Amino acid sequence: MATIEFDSVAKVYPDGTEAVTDLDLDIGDGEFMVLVGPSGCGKSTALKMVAGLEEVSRGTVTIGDEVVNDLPPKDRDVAMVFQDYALYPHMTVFENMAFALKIRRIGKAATESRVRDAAGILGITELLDRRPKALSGGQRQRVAMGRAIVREPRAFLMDEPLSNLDAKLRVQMRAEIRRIQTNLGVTTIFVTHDQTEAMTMGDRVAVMKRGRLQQVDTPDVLYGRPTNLFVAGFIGSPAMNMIEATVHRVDDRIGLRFGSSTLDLDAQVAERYPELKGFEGRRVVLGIRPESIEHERFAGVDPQGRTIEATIELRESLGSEALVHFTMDAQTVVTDDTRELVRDREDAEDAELVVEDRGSSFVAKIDPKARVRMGETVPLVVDTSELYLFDPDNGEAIAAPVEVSSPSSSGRARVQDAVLTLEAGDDA
Amino acid sequence: MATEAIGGVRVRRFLGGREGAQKRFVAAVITPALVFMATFMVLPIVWAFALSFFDFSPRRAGTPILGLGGDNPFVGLEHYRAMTDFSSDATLNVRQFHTAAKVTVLFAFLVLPLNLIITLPLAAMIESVHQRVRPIYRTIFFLPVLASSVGVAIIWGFVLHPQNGLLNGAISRITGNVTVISWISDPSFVFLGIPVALLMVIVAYLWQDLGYNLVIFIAALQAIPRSVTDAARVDGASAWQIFRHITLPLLKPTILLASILTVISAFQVFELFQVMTLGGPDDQTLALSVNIYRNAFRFQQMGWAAAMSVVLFFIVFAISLAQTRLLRSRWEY
Amino acid sequence: MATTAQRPATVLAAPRAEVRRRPSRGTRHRAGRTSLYVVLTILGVVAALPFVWMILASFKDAAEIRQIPPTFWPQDANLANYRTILQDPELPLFTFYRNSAFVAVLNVIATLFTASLLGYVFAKFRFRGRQPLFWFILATMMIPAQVTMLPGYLILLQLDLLNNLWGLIIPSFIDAFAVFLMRQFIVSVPNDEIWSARVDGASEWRIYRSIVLPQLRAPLATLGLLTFMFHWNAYLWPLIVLTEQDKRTLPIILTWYSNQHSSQANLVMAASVLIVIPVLIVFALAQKWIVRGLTLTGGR
Ligand SMILES: Nc1ncnc2c1ncn2[C@@H]1O[C@H](COP(=O)(O)OP(=O)(O)OP(=O)(O)O)[C@@H](O)[C@H]1O
Ligand SMILES: [Mg+2]
Repeated sequence: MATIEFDSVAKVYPDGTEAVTDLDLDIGDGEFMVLVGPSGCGKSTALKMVAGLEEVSRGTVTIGDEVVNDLPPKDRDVAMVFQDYALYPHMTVFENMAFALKIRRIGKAATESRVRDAAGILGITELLDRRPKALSGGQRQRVAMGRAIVREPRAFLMDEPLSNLDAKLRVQMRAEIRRIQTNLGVTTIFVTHDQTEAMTMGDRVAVMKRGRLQQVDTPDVLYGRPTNLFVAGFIGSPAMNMIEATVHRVDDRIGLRFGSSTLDLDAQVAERYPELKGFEGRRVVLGIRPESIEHERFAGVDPQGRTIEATIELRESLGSEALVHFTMDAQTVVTDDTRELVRDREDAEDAELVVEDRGSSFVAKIDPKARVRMGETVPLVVDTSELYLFDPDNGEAIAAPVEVSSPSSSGRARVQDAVLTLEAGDDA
Repeated sequence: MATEAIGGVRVRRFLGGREGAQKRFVAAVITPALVFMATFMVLPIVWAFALSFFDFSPRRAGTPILGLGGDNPFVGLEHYRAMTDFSSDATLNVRQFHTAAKVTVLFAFLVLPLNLIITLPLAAMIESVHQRVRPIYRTIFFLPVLASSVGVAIIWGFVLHPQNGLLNGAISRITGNVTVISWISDPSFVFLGIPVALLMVIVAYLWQDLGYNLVIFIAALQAIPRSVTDAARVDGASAWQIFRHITLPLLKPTILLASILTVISAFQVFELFQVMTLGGPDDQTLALSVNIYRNAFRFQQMGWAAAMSVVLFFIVFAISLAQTRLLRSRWEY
Repeated sequence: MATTAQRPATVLAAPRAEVRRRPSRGTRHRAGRTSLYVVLTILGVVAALPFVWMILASFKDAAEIRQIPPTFWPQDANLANYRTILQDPELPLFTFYRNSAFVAVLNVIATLFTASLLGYVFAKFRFRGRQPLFWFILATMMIPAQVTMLPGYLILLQLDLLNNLWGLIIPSFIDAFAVFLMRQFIVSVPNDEIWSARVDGASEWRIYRSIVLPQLRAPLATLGLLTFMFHWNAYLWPLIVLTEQDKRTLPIILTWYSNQHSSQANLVMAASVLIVIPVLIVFALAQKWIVRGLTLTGGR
């Protein structure tokens, strides 16, 4: 077990690609840190620098109390799980798991017992004599995990270990990996491009974009207090709705106007951001999470200053809730961040829509009992205490909901710390 | 007459008359091919076997049936029986055959291990240098493959020339005294019981032939996913341990294939023996291929040459069969 | 978290502690890297030496070439040897280049045509005897040249093709390896394309020409180079078939010239340069394709 520290780490590949830029990240002893971000943002590169598979171009990587920049992988005592599992095809499952121990001359008896223990934990004892070829994807994944577990390393490094599994197995393995990691208490860096995986697994989550760390914090803070448009759009599913709005003041209230709609920012929030009063007339990006929009009938609050009219274009029922799609008649947000997000969703048609459309597409998660029909125009109420405001020029957060400071079960202190720090930063 | 993937009935009904057109097309392609193969592939094999039962020379008329019989008498298994005569009063032909068989087998089975000992590490080394310079090294070692064997034989003949050759010149330069060693013309020059002339042909052949296995091994190395060797590195293996425990076992099927191909082509090498050493000195480099050629086209003993070629055929055939047996396994990464 | 750890004492701790005391591994790593380049470069130089030796010797004069011990760099480099060769009336090099090119090019055309056509038929049609016939073609790859060359000679004798360049072309019209290679590629041409062309009323020949062939450009290029190389460098079969001087191909001429001038290595080396180097350059440039062909099948 050990801490892992990135100190101004950069990686420039021989061809000049700068895959990671100025990465500062401290991972605590026994912590489960998730690195998340769109494809090509440098997650694997960062991980490989910890493993020693890629040289560090600038800065230092520290494991425990030693700088490991010049240490070859074999002396770092970390274990890695690869996306394609990287099992040794010519060895049985047992031999795969025993390989590292054999290299280190642990001894036959110790090797045998450690492999059997790990196999027991993972439920693959019956597979020990098989070759990888004769295993299903899920079984291979377990063997790859087993190979890491028997090592009893200082850290687990996992590079999208679940991405080749089908959806159901993936959810199951998430829980299992977390359970094993918590039991073993091994510091873990887990790379994924799936934000749901990141949010459900990580003690903390580090969001990266194009080689740069955007924000690192607990899932709750990332959700409730994203530092910029990119994190806001990346975290949460369905993604946050974003639209350009103009700030205006009516008496003491802060209003946000976009197209023909106006929302009044919750008074409590407005109080926390006194500087918003000086924003009169300015353009901002307004972010509204789909789960903050509800049908008027089920909202249970005064609709005054909270309502938008929406003509439903599509309704998807998810059983416990329903997603409704509609278009707001205002400018879509096009910044570097949103473009990156669109690219990440890998939907070329959507990408064009976002740029060309006059209005912007919205999604709301509403109570399924609100029997809205397609084509119907309905009043939707927005929880105005859950609004996000961003600077349209640089994408940085201006205001975020307060709810964050009432944290959920774990990591209470850290979340509060984070929120406090952020607020202090904003006030300055 | 449907193609493989598109099954039967519906397609057939749908296309109706098209079937006839396909049949005609196949017939138009296959018929001439069959005629050709009968003439230039089947007939020669049968004929070679037949020749080996006769005392045959194309100079003699013989009967109208392929010139066999008549002045070219049938001798049955006589040629094969003679081959098994290991007594000291065996004919020159037979003794030369024994020499040739020994030379050829020795050559092939010395070439194989030497080739692998060089090509495997060389491939691994070339694979581990920066990819920008990789093609340069690969090209250098691959160039001799592209050169004509005759050119190789002549160049090496001059490299090994006793008075004016590069090798002796280099030795002279290094030792400081003029050295004249007859690398390929002194029958008494023997190293570890193997004629040095044969060793020199082996050196030249290795030089010429390395490139084949090199590119095959490089391709096989590239097929091993980076993540597998990365996993081994993280598992604590040193460069040597990775080669020993991961790379080498994974290359095993490729090594087997390359070995068999190497042996088979070594059995058929002709140019180096014919041009570089002329089979000499004292028949020390008289390979089977050269012996067959000489008997057939210089000494007009085609029957005897055919019998020897049939022996060569069976050796190569046996190795090829072993190949198809041994080469089932392929790794799935 | 992290307080629930129940891990046994780590066995791996010991080697780690030892490692920490060692000096920078990076320098050792880089030293290994450098020695790798040094070793490879030395080996490369050794491998290139015979060619270099040949080229350097071709610039030496008769006196220098006979020096004992020999010089490495020519003392007085000149092109006299080349002049001698190119002006030698007994050595009409152009004729031999033409002979070699004729044989190689026609073989390439024939091989590409028959291999793609037969490969197509074997890949996409079902007919009686297809499987055994294909296996037979594969099996002929295993037959040593020494076996078929004797009857082959007698057949050409019967067909009156001895001493005729066509004797080097007709017997190799169908190449087993080439048919095999093509079939492997054509199998992956989608059946749907072939069927839809049929539905559109294209004739079978037309499908071969306009659907199948265009998709084979890359493998055909590779195969063409391999075939050209094989026939351009061929020695044994041309040696048997061609007996008249002006019909001969370059490899045979080179041995003949070498025998004629066995005491004038400077001339022989110059001739070797003229015959070996130009194609070597072409092949080296096309090397990528040749290597691909070889590694595709592991074939020779
Ligand atoms: N060996 C390399 N040489 C040059 N560039 C590289 C190399 N490996 C990665 N890159 C580049 O570095 C960037 C980051 O790559 P990396 O593999 O770390 O991304 P990633 O976040 O893991 O993406 P993914 O989710 O697709 O795995 C990419 O732009 C990639 O093209
Ligand atoms: Mg990656």
